[in-house]
Amino acid sequence: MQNIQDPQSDQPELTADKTNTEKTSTEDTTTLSTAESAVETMPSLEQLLKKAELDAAEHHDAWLRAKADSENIRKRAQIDIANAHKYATENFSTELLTVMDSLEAALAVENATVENFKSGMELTLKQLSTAFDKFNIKVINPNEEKFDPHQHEAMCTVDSELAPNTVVHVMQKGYILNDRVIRPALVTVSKAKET
Amino acid sequence: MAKIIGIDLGTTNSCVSVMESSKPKVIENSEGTRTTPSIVAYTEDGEILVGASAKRQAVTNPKNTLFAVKRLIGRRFNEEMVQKDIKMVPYKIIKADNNDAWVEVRDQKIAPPEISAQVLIKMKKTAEDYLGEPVTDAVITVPAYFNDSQRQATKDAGRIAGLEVKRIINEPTAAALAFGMDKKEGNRTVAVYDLGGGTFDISIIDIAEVEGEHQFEVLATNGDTFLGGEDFDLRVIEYLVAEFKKESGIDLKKDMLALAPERLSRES
Repeated sequence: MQNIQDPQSDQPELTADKTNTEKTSTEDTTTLSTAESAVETMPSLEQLLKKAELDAAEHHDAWLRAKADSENIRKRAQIDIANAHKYATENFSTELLTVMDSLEAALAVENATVENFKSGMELTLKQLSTAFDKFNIKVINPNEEKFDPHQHEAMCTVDSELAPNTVVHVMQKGYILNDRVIRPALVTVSKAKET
Repeated sequence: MAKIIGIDLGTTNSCVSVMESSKPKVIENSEGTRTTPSIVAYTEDGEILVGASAKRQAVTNPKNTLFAVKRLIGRRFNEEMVQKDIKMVPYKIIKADNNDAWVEVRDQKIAPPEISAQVLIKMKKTAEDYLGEPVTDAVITVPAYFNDSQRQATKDAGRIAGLEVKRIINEPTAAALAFGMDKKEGNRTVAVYDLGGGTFDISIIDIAEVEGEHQFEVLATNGDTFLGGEDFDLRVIEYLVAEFKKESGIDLKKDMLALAPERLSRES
């Protein structure tokens, strides 16, 4: 019974003596006292119960609201993610439009020489490289570097004069977007030392 | 509050998820993929690689790159499955002092639960990175035909990875639950086909509604433990190589190796 008295810490001097006498009398009372019986100073068990019930109702309310809130946040997040997926490529796509234009223009030229095509392609390649730079796409071209399985994929091992576990040949370059390997470089690797 | 994670520890690939607002969410790993290859490699430098990086260096380090360890976990060396596996994998499978099937890499004898634990550690970290808090409890699925020894070995792998495995549940049961078979009224019998990367299983499950709750019982299982998506990949590659050879006369399998050094000398 003592711990029920603890929440009444704002009225310490009042709870002190009268608690025990109060206890015995309230045990006989069956009806809950409402506002009229109130209030003097000493909280009766009924009042404590009422307060506890109000607190519980308040907490329940707050919990319901928090639950609804989190459900709304989740729904909003889902919409955000769906939009992010849909429009993620928008910025990068815009950069690529100039590349598309260049390629179409090159093909539309009549009687173009091989030299023309070559210089046209080189310019277009430059445009694409610029787009890659803008969006932080870096190339992985590890010729004769130490083999790194985080960025390279070994297709096979070959005999080589290079040190063991070195990239002998890059069959296909890889690419990193920001800090994520979007495609590892496909390489052949010099054979490891025989163990 | 700590969340419990669900892990599909597969023969070829593994997957981890967590419940979010009563819906399961599969978590992406550090490489941005939703599944992680169940491959563990021990490098020359003493590094332990797990997942995609282990897979990428497999051809350079075949004896120390361990895959399909699920075929060995909880089994004795003398079992037929183990003996069949020995002929199919480039790494060494040995008999431990207690007659269990173990592996040997770089002169170290290692028990399969320790290998699978490496994969589980990566799945645990994937979840922790996403949730932003430590994870200690997990549920792991196993094939319906796994015996007590295999289930216990899987639990051991969890423990080694720092996870308390609250439940080991059957894969087909988990699949049935994922498809909401427990939300429907009445009893039903369901056939679950599981075509994975390395194995193909079928299970017949009886779902009975008893006092409002659904009880799952696996009635029968069967399958091929050496047939999966990776085998289909190999067949398609073989077909393409054969067709290419018919049309061009070039045998890609041989020439891929031949072309590489030739190109290198041309470029230098």
